[in-house]
Amino acid sequence: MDIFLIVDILKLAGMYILMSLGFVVIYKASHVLNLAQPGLVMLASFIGLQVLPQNFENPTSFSKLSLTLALMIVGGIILGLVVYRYFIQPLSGTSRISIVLMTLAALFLLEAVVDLIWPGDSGFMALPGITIGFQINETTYIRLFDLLPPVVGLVVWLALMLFYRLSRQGIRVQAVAENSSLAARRGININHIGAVSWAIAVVVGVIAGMTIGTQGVVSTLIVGTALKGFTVALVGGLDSIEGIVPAALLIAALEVATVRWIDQQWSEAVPFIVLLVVLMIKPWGLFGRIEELERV
Amino acid sequence: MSNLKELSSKLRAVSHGSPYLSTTYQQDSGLFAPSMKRINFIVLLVVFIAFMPYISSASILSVTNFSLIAIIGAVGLQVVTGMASQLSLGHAAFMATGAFVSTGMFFQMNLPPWLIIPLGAISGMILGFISGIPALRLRGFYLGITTLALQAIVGVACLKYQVFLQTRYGTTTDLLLPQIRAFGVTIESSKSWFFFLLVVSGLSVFFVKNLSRSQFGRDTAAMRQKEVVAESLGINVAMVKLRAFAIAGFFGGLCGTLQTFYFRQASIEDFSLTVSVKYLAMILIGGLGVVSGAVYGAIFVTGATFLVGEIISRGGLTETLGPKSRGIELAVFAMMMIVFLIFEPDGIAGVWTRVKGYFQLWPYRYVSTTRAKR
Repeated sequence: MDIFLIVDILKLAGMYILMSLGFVVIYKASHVLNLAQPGLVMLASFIGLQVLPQNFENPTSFSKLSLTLALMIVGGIILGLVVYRYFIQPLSGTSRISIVLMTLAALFLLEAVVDLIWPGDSGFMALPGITIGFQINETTYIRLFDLLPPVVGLVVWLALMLFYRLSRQGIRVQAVAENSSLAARRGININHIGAVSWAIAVVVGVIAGMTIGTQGVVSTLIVGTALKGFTVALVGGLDSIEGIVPAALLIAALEVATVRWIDQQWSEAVPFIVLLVVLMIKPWGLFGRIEELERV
Repeated sequence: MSNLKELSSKLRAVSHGSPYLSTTYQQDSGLFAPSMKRINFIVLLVVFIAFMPYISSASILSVTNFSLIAIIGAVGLQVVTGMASQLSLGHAAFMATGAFVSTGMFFQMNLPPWLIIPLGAISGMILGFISGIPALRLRGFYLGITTLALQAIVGVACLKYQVFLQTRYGTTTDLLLPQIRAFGVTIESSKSWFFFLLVVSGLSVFFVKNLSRSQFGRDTAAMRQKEVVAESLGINVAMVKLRAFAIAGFFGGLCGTLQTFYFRQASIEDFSLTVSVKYLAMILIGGLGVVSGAVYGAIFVTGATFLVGEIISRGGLTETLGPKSRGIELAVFAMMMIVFLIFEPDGIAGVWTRVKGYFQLWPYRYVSTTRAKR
């Protein structure tokens, strides 16, 4: 087993972790599929392509870089609040299927926005350190940036897990997910929880978009890649943050193996085939909680 | 004398379209409420439709044909998403199956088109049945996502098949399908296509409308309210979902097959996830769960897409906006979806019911739109 294969798997798994977190965060809070997430990831990476400094000769560009990243996170929080307030909240009380359709409409609105502002654009993010790499042996060469997705993915995943386990707000989110009307009666502001969840989801989307941007060409194909993050969320269990990492590793390993030994085009379908198989065996995903549908 | 009086009162009631007119069970379970107004409307519609291809321009006629094809797909999606309330993100997969199975049947098996069309629809039905199988174990949105998986897998399979066909039979013009020829009639002009599609989509709408008041339709109505309660009433929920997916697959396959024969070529780009969402937008804009809503929605979305293209080309904006037309089109139908979701969840069918009710009930104000949903 060569190291290159392992690095490839880790890289892909890291990206899948980042892309699936946004789905799980929203599902945890409201039991609604957030189909807009791929659009948010794509928008973030295009904005990153546009605003990040392109060369790093003068020393001020590093401070500029960190300032831009911080501003993008803040922008993500604001966008999340706006999305919740103007697109999701007006639908509260209607059926869940109409909220899902709303996120779907938002996905296509985001695609349209990207298509109108950057028609047919694609490009690389030129970040410092993108050329640094290590020669392990004569056949294996690993770039420093290959290690970025697994590291960032793990950090964000751990942070979110601690948030849900330990913080007051995280426990409130779980209460709302359990039974929103009961939670409201106990004095939890449901709209507040929804807004916080959407802000988290968009920020995770921004981080995912920036990380994907360091790995390859930024183009509209990111939507397809991010949709595969959905299958990771489902395989792990839609309401389970814990399940994301094993699911991401499983799917990434199978996908890399398919590219290596079977066929490039079929590898696009691998996550979905894994999804179908896992859901047939364990309908709630590997680590998902069995939902209370059996009770009357 | 009394007989005459009775008759005249009955006639008046018919012409006023009272819903309390039904005096027998047969009338009560009829497909349409007996009403002179409705009969007048239908007669007018038939007359209009019969003359439509002779008075409209070629572009309008082609949009009408597209709408008629879209209606077939939309009523199919209405069965699974509107009636059975199961999110389906893979409607384009059924269409792609119909399209590529029919292409394959012509080139590899040399079957005649009149046989291919039903077989294409049946292939869609089989795929629909397969995609419904997870319903035996899954509930809620998990099932909806398996249809997304279906979309991805079928997409790759069809792409592979398209490449295979191209390497074996050649590209573009070599892969043209023949014109449909049946009972001595050849369907080639848009006029003949119009009448052919009118019959097929009319039958589809009629079938689904009829379905909505059958045992199956009532089962889906119960399931839409609350799945657990429906199950405790003795409805086999998984079976109903399976049948809903099979029916949706049938109409999806039929729609894809007809579209392929209309374009005379199948291309995988015509069956992307965007197309699936477009069909969802149709039934959403038309009115979820209402059969006539699928018709309104299909016409509205197809017409709006055409209108955007017309405005760009007529307004002399082709140079500035031409390359962005795909983005504009996406933006328009995403905005339509959002506007209808927030401001008019009942869709065009709901607006229609309300406007009609306003004039019928005047001077009384309150109009119930729940009747339309049944």
